[in-house]
Formats: sequence, structure tokens, C-alpha cells
Amino acid sequence: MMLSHINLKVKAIWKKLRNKGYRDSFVASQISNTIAAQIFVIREARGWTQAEVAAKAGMKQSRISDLEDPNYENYQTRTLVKIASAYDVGLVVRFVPFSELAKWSANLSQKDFLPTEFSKDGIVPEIELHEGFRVVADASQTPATTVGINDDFDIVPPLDIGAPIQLTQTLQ
Amino acid sequence: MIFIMSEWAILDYVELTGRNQIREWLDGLPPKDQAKIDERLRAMEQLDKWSEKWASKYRGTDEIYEFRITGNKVQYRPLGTYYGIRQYVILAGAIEKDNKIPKRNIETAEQRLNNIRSCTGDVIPHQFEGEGNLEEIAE
Repeated sequence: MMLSHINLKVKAIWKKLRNKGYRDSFVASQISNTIAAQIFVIREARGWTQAEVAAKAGMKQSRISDLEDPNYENYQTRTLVKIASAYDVGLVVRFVPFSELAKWSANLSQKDFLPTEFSKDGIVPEIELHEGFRVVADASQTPATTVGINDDFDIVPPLDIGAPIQLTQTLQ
Repeated sequence: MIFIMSEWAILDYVELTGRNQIREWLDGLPPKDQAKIDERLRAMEQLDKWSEKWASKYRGTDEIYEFRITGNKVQYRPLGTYYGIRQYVILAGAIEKDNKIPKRNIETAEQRLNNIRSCTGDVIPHQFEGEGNLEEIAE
């Protein structure tokens, strides 16, 4: 059986995680690298200076500079909540099994560093399609390859069942 | 196979014999510090733009850059350089002492870069996994 590229990465990480010292340091490094990268990447994407982030978060510019350093590990949850508020994004702090952390590390990509702010965010209702039904982006009946979060879309039943069911509401 | 495209390819300098002294250096470090370096490199592979905090040119050199990674009371400074499009090659391991990187480490990095350019050295994708088994390393 051939393992996928991702599975090979997870396997390599898992092998090292058998060492307790490695595991503990792995957790700390994941947090410091991810937080530093995200604070920098989001700030750059918005075109903000460190001083502007600091002003929005009610902090000093030097603290933002510290937080963008991947070696910095003295985080307080309260500080991260302030930064999340300044960027208007969510924050997750929770304990997880190492298997989950290993998979997350192996699957990491650039998009993980740049969460969408609330004003551009939304939830598309989950829809279970029965056999023969298909999703189209609009009434032109062209099969959709992707449906955007704010797009209207129809669920088109097989021809002998009836008219399209139109969903126009995006949850926000 | 499923591939996630990395923003950057991190490479190791290797001798023409295939000997990877970057991997050998990493394998000799305490597991806690190996984790710090591994995770930093994994993050950097996916990070589109590296700020000065992630990679900075070492003072007094033309092309040698350092990654600044704080280990357990040790300041690790893997030395390398940008190499082609979206590629970075690690040329030598180094540990900062008294706020300086030993001169011999800088010279090693510069020599290896010259080796690559003169085809007397080579590069391979960074090897995250060494030959050793961390379980056997005393903590």
C-alpha cells in the first residue's frame, strides 16, 4: 500500500512524538510559530502597521513586535483575545490529542495563517443531496463546480421530479 | 498521491557522496530542540513571506542568512541562503555564543555555497526525519 505525501509527513512526526521531550517542545513550538505567523500575516494582508494593530488592541506597539517573534512564548490568553478582537477573527484554545496535532502540522498551508474576518465570513447551510439531485449556481442550470459563500444557488432535482428548489439565504 | 503545495522548498546542502551534514547536525541535538527546529521549518515552508524575525541576513556577509531559533538555553542559528525561485538551502548548523556566530560556521556556509555553484556540492529537499530513534536518546 502506498502512503500519501501527507500520511508520510504524519508518520515522520508521529515517530518523533514518541519522545516525551520532543512532544512537549512540539506543542510549545506549534503555538509560538502559528501565533507569530498569524499576527504578521493578517497584519500584512490588511496593510496595517504594528502601531495600528496595537491601537486597535489597546496595547503597545512593542508588544505586537514581540508577538510576531516566533521565539516568544509568554502568551496570555487575555492578550490573544485582544488581538483576535482587533482582527475581528475567532480564537480557539483547547487541549487535543497528539494525533490531531500531528495531522494539523502535516496539513498546514498558507491559508491556515489567514482567517477571514467576520464581515467577510459566513456559514453555508449543509445540504444533503439525494441521488440525481445536483447543485447549480443559478437558474441557467449550468452545473456548478463551486458555490461561493454568498452566492445564491439552486438544488436541481431529476427532470421527472419537479421544479428547482431555490435557496437564497446565507447565514450570517 | 495528495500533495499540499508548499510556499517554499527548504533544501539541505549535501556532499556529492550524498552525506547530509545538516541532518547529522540536527540528529545530534536534544529532542526538545529538534522539535523547535522541525516545527519552525514546517511553518516556514508554508509561510508566503518571511519577516526579519524568521530569516535575517547575517551581519558582515553578502549572502548568508540565519534562522533564529531559541532552544533550551541555546540559540540555534542554522545558516543558509535563498537559492532559486522560492527555494532556501540550509548550508550549515550553528550555535550563537556571546551574540556571535563562530567564524568557522560562517566560513563553512560560504564554502558550501561555493561548492553548490561549482557543482562540487548538491542540494536535496530538507530531511525532517533522521536515521536515529529519539526514544533511545536519554532526556
